[in-house]
Amino acid sequence: MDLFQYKHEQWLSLLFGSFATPDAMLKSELYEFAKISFRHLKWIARHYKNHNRYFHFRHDAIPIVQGDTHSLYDSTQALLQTREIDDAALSERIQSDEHYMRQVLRERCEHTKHKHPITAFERHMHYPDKILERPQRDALIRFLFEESYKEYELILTYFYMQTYTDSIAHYEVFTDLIDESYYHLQAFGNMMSLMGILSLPREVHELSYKVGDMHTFILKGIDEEHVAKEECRALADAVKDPELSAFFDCINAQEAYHIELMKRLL
Amino acid sequence: MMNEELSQEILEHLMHPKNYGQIDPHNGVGMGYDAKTNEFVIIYLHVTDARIENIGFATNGCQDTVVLGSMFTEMIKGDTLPNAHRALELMRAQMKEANASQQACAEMVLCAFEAAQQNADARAQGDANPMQKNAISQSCTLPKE
Repeated sequence: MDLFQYKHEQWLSLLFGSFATPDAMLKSELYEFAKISFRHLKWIARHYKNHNRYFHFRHDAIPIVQGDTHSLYDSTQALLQTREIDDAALSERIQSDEHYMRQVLRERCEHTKHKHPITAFERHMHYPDKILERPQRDALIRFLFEESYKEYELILTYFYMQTYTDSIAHYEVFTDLIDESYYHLQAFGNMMSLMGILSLPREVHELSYKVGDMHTFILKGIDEEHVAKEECRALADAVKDPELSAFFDCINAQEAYHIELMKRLL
Repeated sequence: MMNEELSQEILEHLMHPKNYGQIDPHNGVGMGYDAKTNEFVIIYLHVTDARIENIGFATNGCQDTVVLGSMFTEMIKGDTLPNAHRALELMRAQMKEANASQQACAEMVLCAFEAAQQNADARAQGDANPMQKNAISQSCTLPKE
């Protein structure tokens, strides 16, 4: 398998593994490891670009861990199988990180006696400690599916544009936009996990991220942010729960600032 | 369909869309797209002797589009082309009761299927076009008042 695809799958596995687990320590570790894996992905993309090599975001089916946290340790370790790249420094860095991650996960698995059951995929559709009427609950679920995919798609699209831009100003804006979408994906993924509806995002087609006309893309992106803002506002009103409403109001405000960031790309 | 309460069946299509992604081999590729929103559905077809041996779809559209694409492809996979067309017309008729957004989602799926078939027919005649693209007539974006 192509190294970039392998790293993409590893990143997704670590990230969604962190969403899936109810064990707070493991969640935190996997999330940090996913961020490291994402940086590897970024460096591999740059290496490919510098060597005129093509990369894509296709991925094979990534097994979703069922059972308990020990199964998650095992499956995650299996995805940390170091592969060579023809850049000695980068190769050494990736090998060192993956060796450390494997070691930490192995030790955690050996020393953690309590196996936490993973309920992230059980489809109970209940938000713990919240009383939501069925229409509110359904609106929340639809929003989470819609937006978790969109955030993933945005991360990949900005990632691709960032890799190929020659503008430092644009590079910085893409960094901010990726960070923002990453936070949203994490928040939505953890909520989906709590409701038992976690699933990996579907594959993003290359027509989504290979953008021919940047100006038109940004203008349409701004329109989409306006729509997302409205959806957040409507959901904040609909859920009638102070904590969830405050969260969606915050996301709404963040979307407003994304529009300002995107305007800098015009 | 998606106005109904979320059932376990719809949840299954949301969590694990059926027939998602490019299939290989394929001998027809079609796109149905909404020019206003840049949303699209691509259908990959592998047809042998007027039977749909395999089918895959991809989309950047909303969750309604994903559910409809998943259900439609699952419905016609393995069936004959005439039966697939009957299913298409049935779905088109049913969607007349849906709202404008859902109609646009369904139309993208159905348009993509028709385009894929056109592409398969053209390829069989020696045409090298890798993908037939058909725009839908009604966008899911309502005109501004």
